[in-house]
Amino acid sequence: MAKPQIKLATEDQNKAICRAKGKVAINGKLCKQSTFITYIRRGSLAVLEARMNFHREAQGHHAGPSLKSAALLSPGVLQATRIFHTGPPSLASVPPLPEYGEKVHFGLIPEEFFQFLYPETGVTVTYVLRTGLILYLLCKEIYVITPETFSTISTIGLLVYVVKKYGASIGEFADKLNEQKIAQLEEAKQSFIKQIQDAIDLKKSQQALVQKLHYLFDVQRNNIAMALENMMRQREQEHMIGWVEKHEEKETIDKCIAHLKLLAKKAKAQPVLHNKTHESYNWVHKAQFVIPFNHNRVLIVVHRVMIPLSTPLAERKNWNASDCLRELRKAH
Amino acid sequence: MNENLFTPFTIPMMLGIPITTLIIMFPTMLFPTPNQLINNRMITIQQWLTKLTSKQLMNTHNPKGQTWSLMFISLFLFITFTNLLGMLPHSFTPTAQLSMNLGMAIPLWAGTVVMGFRNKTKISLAHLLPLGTPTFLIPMLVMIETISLFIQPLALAVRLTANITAGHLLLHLIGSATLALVNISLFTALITFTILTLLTILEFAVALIQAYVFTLLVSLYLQDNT
Repeated sequence: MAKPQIKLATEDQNKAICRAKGKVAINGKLCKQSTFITYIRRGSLAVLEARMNFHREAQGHHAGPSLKSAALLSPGVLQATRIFHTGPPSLASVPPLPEYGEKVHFGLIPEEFFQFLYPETGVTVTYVLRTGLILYLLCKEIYVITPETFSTISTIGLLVYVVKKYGASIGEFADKLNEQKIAQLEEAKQSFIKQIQDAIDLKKSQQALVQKLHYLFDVQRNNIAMALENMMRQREQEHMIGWVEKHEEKETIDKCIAHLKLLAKKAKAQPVLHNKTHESYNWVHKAQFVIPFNHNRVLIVVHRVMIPLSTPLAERKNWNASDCLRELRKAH
Repeated sequence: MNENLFTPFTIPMMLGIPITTLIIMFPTMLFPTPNQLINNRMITIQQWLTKLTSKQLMNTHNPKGQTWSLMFISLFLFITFTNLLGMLPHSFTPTAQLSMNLGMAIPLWAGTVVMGFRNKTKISLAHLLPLGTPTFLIPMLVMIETISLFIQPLALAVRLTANITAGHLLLHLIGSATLALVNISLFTALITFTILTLLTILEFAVALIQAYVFTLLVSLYLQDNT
């Protein structure tokens, strides 16, 4: 018998035709579904495999002789039997593992069993199998009806009822317990992180304060410098007074006073050179004016003036009476 | 067919070897060891139940008594699950055997009593006489209290055995009544079947309660003696 040559239509074409006419397209002709099933029975798995491979190649997959081409079986089997995949791997991903299992009959037999039997038996497999099995067991007295049967019915019935009614809520309760546990731990973690964050912020603010501390030190330094300067000035003044008091010769003092007055006038008239830098000048004490302080004392207000470097006084000198006279003579 | 009423209580044999040990060890398979912090639903619920029961049981004990917590929780879980598994059709309940219950009750009771006599001899002996008895009744009362003390393990074992056995027997009997009535009058059979269902519910409750009572009594004996 010649094998039927099957010209495979594309899936879309088939679907469209099926929808339109409720028939299957084989060899470009429309056939009844029974014919298709006959072809299926005759060629069975090989035909379907060829059909699948045709489609897979049309989509660019390489059809190797491997278990994965048998797409009739459930994706679960496909994933589980990965160890047996000897052919080259599929370019596209395998169908994903379903999250929940399929419907289960009697709590024992999965739906896939009936799907597997569908091509041979059709839709009635579930009912026929169920009834037939029970009748067989009872007739052949493999299962005997005893008093235990009734207690079985009541027990199993009760269990099924309880599971169906309260199963979901118990599951949710368990999930809630786990979530509470995780929430507790999460809270502990977050509080710890917050603690550390607060410590970091505190340290940062302290660091910022420390950065600005030098202003404080500068101010303190300036204060101390000012106080020191004041102290120095006071000491100079007292020294001057002391010196004048020590050398209390009236005539010399009068002469000194007169000459100092002249000097003061000359110093005012003399211009101070400004074009030289600060370092080239020398600070020298010059008496500006004399105030009679007491009946035997005199207050000499000493003025610090800058004199040019050209003068032989390059360094600051402590003046005594002879120095003073000498300077006065020079000034003359 | 069952030859007599007590056929369900015979030790199951496989190839001539009694498989009681396997059946007794079976409930342990239903308690998987938790490997992670967050487990699946079954383990979560088991942990929650264990925590609840242990808190309830061990709250009233002093630290010395609380060292027995593991013992009590294991005992409670074992008896509970053995009883519940026995409710399944055509299964064997180890706790319906007096030998097994005596084997559980006597060592536990004896442990508490010996502990009491070793550590607190005077107080343990004093328990043999209730407060405020008239003087001339003392010898008789001491004897009565001693007898009641020695009856405690027996009571524990027999209580559990009797409850479980009686429950199973009742289910069997009412089941056979239903079976007999099915041929006679379907309506009466339905009523009997309703009674059977209610009894099943009761049996489930009894399975849990009896386990709790057993454990509670042993913990009470411990409390007396620590």
